[in-house]
Amino acid sequence: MANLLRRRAPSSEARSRVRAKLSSSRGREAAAGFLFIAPAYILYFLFMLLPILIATYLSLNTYDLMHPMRFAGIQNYREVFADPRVWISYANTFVFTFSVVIGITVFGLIVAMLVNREFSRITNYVFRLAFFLPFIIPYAFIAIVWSQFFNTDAGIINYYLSQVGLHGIGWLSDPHYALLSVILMDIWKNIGFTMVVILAGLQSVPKEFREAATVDGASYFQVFFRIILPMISPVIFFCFVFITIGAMKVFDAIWILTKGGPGDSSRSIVVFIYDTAFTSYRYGYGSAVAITLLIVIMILTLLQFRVANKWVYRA
Amino acid sequence: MKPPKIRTWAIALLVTAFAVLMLTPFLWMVSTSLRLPKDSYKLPPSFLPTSFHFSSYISVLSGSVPILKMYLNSIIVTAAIVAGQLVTCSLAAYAFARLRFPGREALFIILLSGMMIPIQVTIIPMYILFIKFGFTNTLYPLIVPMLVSCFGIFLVRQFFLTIPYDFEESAKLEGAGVFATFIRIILPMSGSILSALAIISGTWAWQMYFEPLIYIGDWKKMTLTVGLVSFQGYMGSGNLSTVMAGVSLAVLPVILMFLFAQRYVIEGLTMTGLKG
Amino acid sequence: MKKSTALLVSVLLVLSVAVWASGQQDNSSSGKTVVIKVKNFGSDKDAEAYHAAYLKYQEAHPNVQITDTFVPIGTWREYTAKTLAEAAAGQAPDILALASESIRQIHSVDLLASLDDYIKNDKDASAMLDDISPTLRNGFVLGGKVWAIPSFWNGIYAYYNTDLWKQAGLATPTKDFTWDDLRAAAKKITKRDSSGNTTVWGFAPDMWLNGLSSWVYSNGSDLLTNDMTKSNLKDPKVAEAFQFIADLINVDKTMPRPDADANANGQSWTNLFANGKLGIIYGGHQYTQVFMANNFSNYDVIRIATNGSHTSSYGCAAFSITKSSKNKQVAWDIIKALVSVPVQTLQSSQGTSIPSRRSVCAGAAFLKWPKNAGLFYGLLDEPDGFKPVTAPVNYTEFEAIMYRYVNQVFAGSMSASEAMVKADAEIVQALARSKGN
Repeated sequence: MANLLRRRAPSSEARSRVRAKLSSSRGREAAAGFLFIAPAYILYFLFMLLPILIATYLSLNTYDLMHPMRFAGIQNYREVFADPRVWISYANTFVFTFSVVIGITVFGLIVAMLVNREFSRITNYVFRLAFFLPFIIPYAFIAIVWSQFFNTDAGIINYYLSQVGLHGIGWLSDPHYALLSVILMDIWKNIGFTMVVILAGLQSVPKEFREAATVDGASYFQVFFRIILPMISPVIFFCFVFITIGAMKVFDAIWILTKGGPGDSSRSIVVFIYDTAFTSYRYGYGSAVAITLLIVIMILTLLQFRVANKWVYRA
Repeated sequence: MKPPKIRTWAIALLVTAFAVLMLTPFLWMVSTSLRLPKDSYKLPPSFLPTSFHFSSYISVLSGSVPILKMYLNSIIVTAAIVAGQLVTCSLAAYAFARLRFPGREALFIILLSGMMIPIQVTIIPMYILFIKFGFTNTLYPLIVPMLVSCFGIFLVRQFFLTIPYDFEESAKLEGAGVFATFIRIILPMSGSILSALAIISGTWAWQMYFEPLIYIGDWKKMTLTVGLVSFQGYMGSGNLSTVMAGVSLAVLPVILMFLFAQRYVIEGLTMTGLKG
Repeated sequence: MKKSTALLVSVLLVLSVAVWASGQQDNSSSGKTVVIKVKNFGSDKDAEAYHAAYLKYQEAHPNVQITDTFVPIGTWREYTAKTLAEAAAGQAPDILALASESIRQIHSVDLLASLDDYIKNDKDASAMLDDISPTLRNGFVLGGKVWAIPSFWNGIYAYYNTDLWKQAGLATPTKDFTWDDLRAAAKKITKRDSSGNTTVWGFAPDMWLNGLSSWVYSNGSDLLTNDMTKSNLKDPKVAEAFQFIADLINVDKTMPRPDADANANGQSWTNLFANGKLGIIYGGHQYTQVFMANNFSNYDVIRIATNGSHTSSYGCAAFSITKSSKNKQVAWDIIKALVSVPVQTLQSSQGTSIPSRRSVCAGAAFLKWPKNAGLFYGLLDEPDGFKPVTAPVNYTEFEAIMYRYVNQVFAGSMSASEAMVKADAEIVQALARSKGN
């Protein structure tokens, strides 16, 4: 009080005292902050950032684990761009990702819309179980079972096709169908995920919105496209991003079902990397391809976020 | 716009048809496993068990396929990863959500971009390093790199951001330090998001195939996913019912667990979608 | 703070227990005990037989402890890759089981110790080696030195269903059963029902590289040159062999279409055969076990069909000693025990692969079934009876390339001649790369 009356600047000791108090609590908080992120960040650095640096270094070399490394400069990258199998693998991966993102989201949306009713608890339970179960079962087991369904001459799908007079399809033996088979299986496996997430989004759309619109005479489709869809767009966007990143990295499904074949018709870029590194023992070249995949995924994700800024409705 | 009762019934039927279609592969799997080995390939296929021969199950359990050991390995890996992620992610998420320290924003962005890194980029160097350090045929390479999840940090942080400041303020007034506040106040409130994270990382860890395929060669250290696939040609070669028995055994506990925990699993997933 | 510390500590404890439990590896004991690490593969019954042998050896030599890593064979790709990885990690075993497919690859990275000295200094060695056919032994002689002792093997034979044969009015096949005979027989045996589905198939090959090699051999050619260092795919006879099979699938429609997985194909086709729905199937001796398990005995075994040559393909497993082993003499003793007559007799009665010892294969246990079982081993001693499977230094890569093209030929989406030209280009490149190392 006396200070204020005196209207004098605080003494230097007072200033340093205040500063000391502030800095110590701030300092403590900052120290705590670093301590808290330390375990995560150390692991992140050791097992994600560092390996990327090493992979980049590897990609400039030729290495097969058994013989000493030989420097190769950008030779590997030149080969990546010139290798038709890389382009085919990327093409397959893009086709797969695009089909699967659309398929899983659309089907999930349809099922979510259908299930979004006042069914009895038991019915709800059974429905959710049926659709969600494939999602939590490891892909390895699903692929084993599906390979029997897809078998060309003794398989189950073809059996039923022949019963109705259609010709059996070479699901896994025909290069034109191999990728399609993997896509179908992947959609089946993941519908549950989008269904559940979109269902939650649908249920968070306030009923008043829908009812107000119908009172105004809007048709069901108008209500859907103008009101519901925009309101669940964040959820749909989330599905898109999530599924895209996963689909670009697809391995299990393809490896167990077709091993990338016949030929290269169902080979994804990750299967190609695996083959190159672990079958041909070309760890340098494999790393180069992997680095390109990293860049591609980054670009894709950034693009998606750009698009989201325009299309996704933020409440 | 209440749809007429008939429409509800029609939709219910449609959904039921879809649901049955979804379950078909599982039904076929179980009924094939219950057939006699020599009948396993017989067409038409049966989706409901027509015969109940448990011989295939017996041969799987008593055969040289160490299915129980592989189960144990998968459980160890999953449990360790879930425990690790819960610890590292909640700590880091709290720091990024509440604590002020220099470079916080930048560090967070760098961490977040880790979500885009495909394992294929990192696995070749990690594989080489693990070999050079002598960790082949152990479960370490499967567990340690996965003890942190960028997505997990993002998820939990989103949740922490929604906690009102009041709780921490009152804790500070009582003289509690940062760590005590975190343990005593924040964590108990975070049950829902932490179980969501546990479920997501647990599901994912259980399904790992690529990493065990690369790192593990000894079948006693194999996890269930890779082991079962490798044993296809091995388990009574030519007997589909034996393979299906093995797969059924592997899948059954997951189904049972899901039946009991369905609510939590779906709630957890829902939360990620809404907050994501 | 106490409660939170306790929580933290308990979480860490759980973590450490989990991590410790996972890290349980066999630790080599110090002192006078000699620890021998074996890396091996095979079937269940093989594992049993070997385990019994280990126990017996350890009883007789109490200072020796044998730890065995027994691997189920999915593909050679995985087994070889893991072996090389372990070697690079300094964790190579003492005794390594390898095969015709991988001998050159493993030898080229200088992993093995030559066995000549041990053979020379061992008076029992010559008796053991005489009991093993030179055809098998020579597959593991590189640069004039012996690198492995054959343990068990499998060749490609043809099994035919005697009933279906009779029903189709076909004469019992002789040893000069030709490709054309096979084609005609398959056509006669294949039956379709009213809706066009095939109920009985004519023929199915063996889809392993062993099986594919055998087709090319029977056409008087090979996938690589004899020393397995250069590609021979441009030889029109190679394309001819693959085109023949492709025509059986797509033109005659007497052969079921193969899916990508050789394993799965083998499974479903042996099952077809064991249920009387397939006329003739190529495969190794292990199929007899499947037939036995299915109580199926209406079959006999003959040589594969010939188109100018009588040579079939075989793959052999063998035991080797690694260069890094510190107990090579003990390892040698154990190898002798593993290929001894009692162990191999046990293996032979289970019907999986064929033991390497002639005396065992002359025994009643082995000759039990089928009627022509003497053929299994007998073919080894015939000139041009068998050749090892084509396996260059970069076998895993070679196998992957071959499958990529052969699968397309069989699918009918590429002609065999075009496929072989393309495959040749890739394999030439791959071989050049492997030499550069």
